Amino acid sequence: MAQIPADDQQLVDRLRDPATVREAFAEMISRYSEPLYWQIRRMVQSHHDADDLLQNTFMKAWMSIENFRGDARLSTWLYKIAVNEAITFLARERRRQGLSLDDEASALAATIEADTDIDGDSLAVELRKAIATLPEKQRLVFNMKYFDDMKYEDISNILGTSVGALKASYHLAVKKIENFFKGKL
Amino acid sequence: MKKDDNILSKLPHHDGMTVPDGYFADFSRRMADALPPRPELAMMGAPEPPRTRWQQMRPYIYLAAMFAGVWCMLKMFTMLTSSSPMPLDANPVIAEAISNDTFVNEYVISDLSQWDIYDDLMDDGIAPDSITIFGNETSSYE
Repeated sequence: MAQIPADDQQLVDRLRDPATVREAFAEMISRYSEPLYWQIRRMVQSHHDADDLLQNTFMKAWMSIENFRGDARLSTWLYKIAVNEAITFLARERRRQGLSLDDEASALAATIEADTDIDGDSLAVELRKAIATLPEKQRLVFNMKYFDDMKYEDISNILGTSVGALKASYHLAVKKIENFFKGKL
Repeated sequence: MKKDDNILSKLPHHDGMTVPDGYFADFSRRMADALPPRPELAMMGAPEPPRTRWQQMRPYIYLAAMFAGVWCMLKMFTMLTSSSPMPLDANPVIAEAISNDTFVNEYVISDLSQWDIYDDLMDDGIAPDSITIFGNETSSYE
């Protein structure tokens, strides 16, 4: 999986310059589309939905690029938009299908079963189903920590939650995944 | 955590999801082409134009208007809840009305019961026959 690019200062400088903003934004898309895509895809499971949400993410970023002052890291700003897009999409889908939060795991499991964009690793599919049973916040924390190996401080900036709460969330998520696989491994 | 780590160590660190070949390169190209033009970004980072005199004074004028409004409200409130009665003489219509005996007799004290007055007079030991009404000395009560 793609990691978050570390040094964005030059790119941020060019994003602030009207003469280079469009070109710099195109470069930002190439740089961030992959990590953002995987983050969204792990939340919504479907490639088609992830593609739509990734487009929305970059479109929103483009329409408010002048509001990015550089106080936060570029990656944090983009992750925040992407995570909000994914959460909003899931809430909208729950309302549309009349699902409760508990029913959402079953719906996501069905999407995982129907997903054709997979590498055939059955254990990975089971892991996705196990993650789908987690509450939304724990799912986000687990995905960021387990797959992307992000620092708690970075996750904290994106989700607006304290590091302590994130550690507790991750610990609970691991326990639930462990229970899911009890007797299966 | 050690037990957790053991469980997690048996699980893959990839999620098994894939994307169509060349998806990210294609996406970046599509997305960059789809960005709408934003001519207003040309003003981004440009120094702000100097503020007009009105823009400079506006906050103070709004503040003054707000204080004036609050003062008026308090003034109204004080007038409405004031406990001191307004003197009757202050209103010329009322002053003229109360100086007119006919008005006072007909509209102010006309609803007094004559029997109540007689009772009070009797209680005070005054016989109604002994009362002389000025201007009508020949009247008598039965």
